[in-house]
Amino acid sequence: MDRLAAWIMRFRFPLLCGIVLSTIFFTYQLTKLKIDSDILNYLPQDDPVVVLFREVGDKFGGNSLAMVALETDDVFNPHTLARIDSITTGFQDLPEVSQVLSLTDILDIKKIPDGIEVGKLIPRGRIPQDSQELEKLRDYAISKDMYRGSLVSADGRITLVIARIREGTSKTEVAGKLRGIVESTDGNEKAYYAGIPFQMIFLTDIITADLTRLIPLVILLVVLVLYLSFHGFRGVLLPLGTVLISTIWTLGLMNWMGIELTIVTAAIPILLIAIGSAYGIHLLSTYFEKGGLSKDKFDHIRQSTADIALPIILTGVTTLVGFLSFLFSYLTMTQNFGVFASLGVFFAMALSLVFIPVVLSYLPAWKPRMSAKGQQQSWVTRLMDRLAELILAHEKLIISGGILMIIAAIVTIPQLHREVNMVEYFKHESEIRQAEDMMEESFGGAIPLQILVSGDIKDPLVLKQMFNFEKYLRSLPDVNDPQSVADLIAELNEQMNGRRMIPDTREGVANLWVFIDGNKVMDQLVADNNERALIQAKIGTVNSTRIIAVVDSINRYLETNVPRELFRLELAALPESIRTEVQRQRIAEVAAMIVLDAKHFGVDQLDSNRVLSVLKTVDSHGVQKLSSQQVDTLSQTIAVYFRSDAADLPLDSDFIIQDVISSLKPLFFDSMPSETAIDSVLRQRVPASMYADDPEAVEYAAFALRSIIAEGRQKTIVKGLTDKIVENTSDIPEMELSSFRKDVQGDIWLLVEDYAGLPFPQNLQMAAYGLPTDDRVELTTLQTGMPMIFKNLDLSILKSQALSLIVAMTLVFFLLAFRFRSFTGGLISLVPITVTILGNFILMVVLNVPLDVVSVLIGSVAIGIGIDYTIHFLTRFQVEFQAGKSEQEALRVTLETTGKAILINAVTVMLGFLVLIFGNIVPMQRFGYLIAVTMVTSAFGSITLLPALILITKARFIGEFGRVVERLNRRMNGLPSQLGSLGLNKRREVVKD
Amino acid sequence: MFNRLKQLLSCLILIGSVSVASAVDPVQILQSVEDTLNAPEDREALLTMQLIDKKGETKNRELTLLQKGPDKRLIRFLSPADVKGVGFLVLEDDMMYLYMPAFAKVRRIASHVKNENFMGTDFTYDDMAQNDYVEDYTPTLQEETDQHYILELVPKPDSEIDYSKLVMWVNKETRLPDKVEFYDRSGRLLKVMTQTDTKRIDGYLTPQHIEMEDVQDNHKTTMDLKNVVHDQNIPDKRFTQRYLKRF
Repeated sequence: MDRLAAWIMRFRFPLLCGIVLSTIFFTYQLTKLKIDSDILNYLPQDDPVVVLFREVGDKFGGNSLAMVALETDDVFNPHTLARIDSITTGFQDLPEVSQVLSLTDILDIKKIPDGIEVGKLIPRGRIPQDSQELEKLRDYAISKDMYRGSLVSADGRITLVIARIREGTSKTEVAGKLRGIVESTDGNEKAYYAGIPFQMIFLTDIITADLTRLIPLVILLVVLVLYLSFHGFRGVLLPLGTVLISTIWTLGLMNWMGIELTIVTAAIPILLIAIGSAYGIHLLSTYFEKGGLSKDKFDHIRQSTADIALPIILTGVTTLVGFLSFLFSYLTMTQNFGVFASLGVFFAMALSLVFIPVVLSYLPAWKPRMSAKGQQQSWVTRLMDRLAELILAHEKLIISGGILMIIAAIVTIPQLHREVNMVEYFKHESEIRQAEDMMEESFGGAIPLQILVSGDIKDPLVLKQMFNFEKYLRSLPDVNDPQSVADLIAELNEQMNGRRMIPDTREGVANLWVFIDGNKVMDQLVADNNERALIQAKIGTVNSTRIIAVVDSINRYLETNVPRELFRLELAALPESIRTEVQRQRIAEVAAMIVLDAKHFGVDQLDSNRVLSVLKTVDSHGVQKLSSQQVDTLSQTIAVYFRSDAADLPLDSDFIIQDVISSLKPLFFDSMPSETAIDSVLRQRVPASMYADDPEAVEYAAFALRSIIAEGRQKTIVKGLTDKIVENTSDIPEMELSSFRKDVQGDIWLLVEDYAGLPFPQNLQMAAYGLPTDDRVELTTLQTGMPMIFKNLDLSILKSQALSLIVAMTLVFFLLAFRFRSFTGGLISLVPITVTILGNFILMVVLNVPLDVVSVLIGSVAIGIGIDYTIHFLTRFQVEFQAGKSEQEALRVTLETTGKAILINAVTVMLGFLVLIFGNIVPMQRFGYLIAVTMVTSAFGSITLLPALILITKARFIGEFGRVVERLNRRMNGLPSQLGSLGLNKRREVVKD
Repeated sequence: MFNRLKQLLSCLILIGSVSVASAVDPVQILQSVEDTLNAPEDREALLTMQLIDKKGETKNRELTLLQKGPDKRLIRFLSPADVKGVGFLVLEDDMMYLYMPAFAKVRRIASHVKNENFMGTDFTYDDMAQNDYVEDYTPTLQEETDQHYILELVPKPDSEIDYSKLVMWVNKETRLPDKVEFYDRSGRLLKVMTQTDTKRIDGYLTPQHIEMEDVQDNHKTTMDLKNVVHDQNIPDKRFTQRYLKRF
């Protein structure tokens, strides 16, 4: 150390130049430092879950929705609608925005008797002004599933404008522009900004605000402490300069290495300023303490530096080790925190040993001023003396206290909960939280869960699986509004054919698909030439535990209920026995879907046996045979067909129409007639003159009639069964009943279809009957989305916590064992910090603070910083004890000097960390006060528990206790045998610095 | 959804070359384009379409096209196989019918929306239906080159056009738009249409290759016309719901 000090003095000029030049360079770098507010970047980019999430985001444009909500008493008023319209057009004018959806620009598809009507919900430039018209619009919009809870809240108070941002543009920049557009419109409506792009600007703002507010505060605090400690300007400026330079180097280096600030690394400057000044303080203390001893300025500096170098390096290295343990974290941002906080500590430590001596060497020699010891100091000294007495008298009590802490920790730690949803990291009154809370309450949440489906998406079997799976999703308590191309097809089928389900043929699907092909909405639903599809739903909670529970149930359901391979069978081609078996399986499947539908509509206890018994009647004669009323309805449909423009054989005579129908009736009332049979009825009943000019007409008409009759029969049978099931669900509100009916009808329709899809393992059985099983389709499902990432984060937080603690503890143990040349010494040194960390966990449970990406850091940071107190205490105690003082004397002296210093330092660092509670990021606030508490507890542990332990174990690494056995015997009233048996009369160990 | 067809037709139709107007009146030029487009009595053609997305993935489609006068058209899918037979019938006043063979049903589509893309192509309804430029747009002559009149077409205030303007390269010789640029409502270039391979078929000039590129979404549609026949006196009954079901 002497050589190091001498070397520093010899090269003082180049060193100073180097420091100045580096600082200029890193200051320049620092000015370019950016804030990375994309939460996705905080995650390890090579994690398969993250890779998939990004891939899905790219393919389906999933991460780029910006949502603006306007809230007022009733959004259906001319002014609010006009404002929405100008926001919508404003957004559309931005080249970075690819699509905008709002009440004033959304496609509205209505069912009309013979088809559909496609229009805009509010045609451009035609915002209704009249109150009656507005009310009609309001009722219509709120009654439609498509709008209610997606575009407008059920109470009509809030409406959304949703902008899709193009990939490859800066989301923060666009979000800023969008916000500017909203703010430039007039209105009393309250505006909310939700979605990742807005969250990103919010995060950037909050980090910037915290940095600009907290850094000056912590600097002020350090200045205050330094002034109180040293008075004079060099006492303030030198340690402050050291931490500021090391902070500039650290942040400058971050930018130089292309690393941006995150919510976690943003704490580095505050942390460095708070803890980094300690090294300078130690050096200056020694310098001032030895002020009168040396005549030569350089000698004085050299000597002070040499004396304090090792303790500074040792404490620096332990702190550094604590931070480095974050390299084992899952999160990239935490790893970065570990690396750069360590570097910062290293800079602060190194600069204290280089910068301060070098600058001192250029300053005039310091003349010791004999400042009178203040009242406070003597008060502290007295307190320390009293403390020493207490420790000596109650060492067992103190140790019992420690043991009690350990027991308490064992009991409470399992109750620690974890929080991984970053939205939870913001204060409830913050804009970001208000927006998220509003989204959760009125729009079913903003976090999408995503399931990627791979396979031939246009195959009905795949779509049916997707559609059924969505029914399952809807039935989960925290999941809302599942969406996919499957329910779009089902909805189109409902509008075109009156049944909300997936058609059973590929052609059926393709015919409907024609409508939506190329629509922009499809970009979010299918990709890779229709070989991938995305099912999305909103999660209606921000609670991590519940989100993870949803993720787990979905994964379980996908695993057990969604087959990976299906094969298709045409029922008509099957032998009776197999057809019955296939039908039995379909009935079970349909019953399960109906139960899920009922659950979605709030009927939890629908009796599935009752449902099954109703469904089982589907092929019975009683159900297959139409009632006279049902026959009449179908006859009407046929009559309408003959009179329509689409009639293949137009008949204008009622008489002929009725004649044809009454001849057809016997054919369709209890089974399906063949096309030939219909053909011959037509040829018998319709005069040939009516189709003389169009001989093909009869053939086409027979074909058309066959499908009308088939569909009519199916409809009738399904309706009958639906009625029977719905009559048991009286608790569904009137408004939702028709929607429930439609769902049940769609479910039951499966039972009257020509084709069935079965899971592939059935193959073996089918093959045994010689049935074709080559019409197969494969599909795979994979859950992705933010919730999956939350789950990963959650697991990793546990792992990170355990691993970083173990690593930090182990490394610190080796350092200390090496320092005191003693294994026991290493172990004993760890006790105060272990108790501190356990105490921290207990406190977290008591205060209900979750383990999150920031609080997971506390343990290792506490070890890194808190262990210094132990080192300082032990070093001094050892020196005093080995100098021949009794343990009582040694303790008293140690407490009076080092003990006091430890407390002052701990209080300083504590105050530094407490500055964080003035920040805006909740986990940082918690981190601030929890670390503050650990500083105090570890300091306190070092001056109470540690001496108590040493006294009771009489650990040899401290020195030879044997020489004081007699005195101890006397004091402790008759425990000579016990003490004697400890065999303490050993060679005194010599420990050198 | 369908309009694009209409437009396609109109574009295709480029029938007769019109006598060259010597006066450079933009309205007259535009009128001559319209007349050229609407010249044939009727037309039948086979259409192969290729849709190319930004990743370069392509989808192919084959359709037949039947058109009579400005208001009657029928489009029928031949491929891909799962939509074979799907037919669109577009009549006057935007009456539109869709036939879905999978359900053996004709459905009426009452659409008030013109700016939706038709069937995954880059043509909107509006693009397809466009055959009365003079009624909808006010043209100004931007430039005159050796080969082209370059017209800027601004929608008339009462029209429901969804573009802010079009820039049209009118071929002086054929009176066909060789190229049209479509600008979105905020004035940015949205799409570019080019028509090439113009041939005289049955006396009518017909471009046989048409491309429409959406430059904002990097999506492109190309169309090639084959077996074009004009003026074969297609009976009106071919444009009825009843015949929509026959293919």
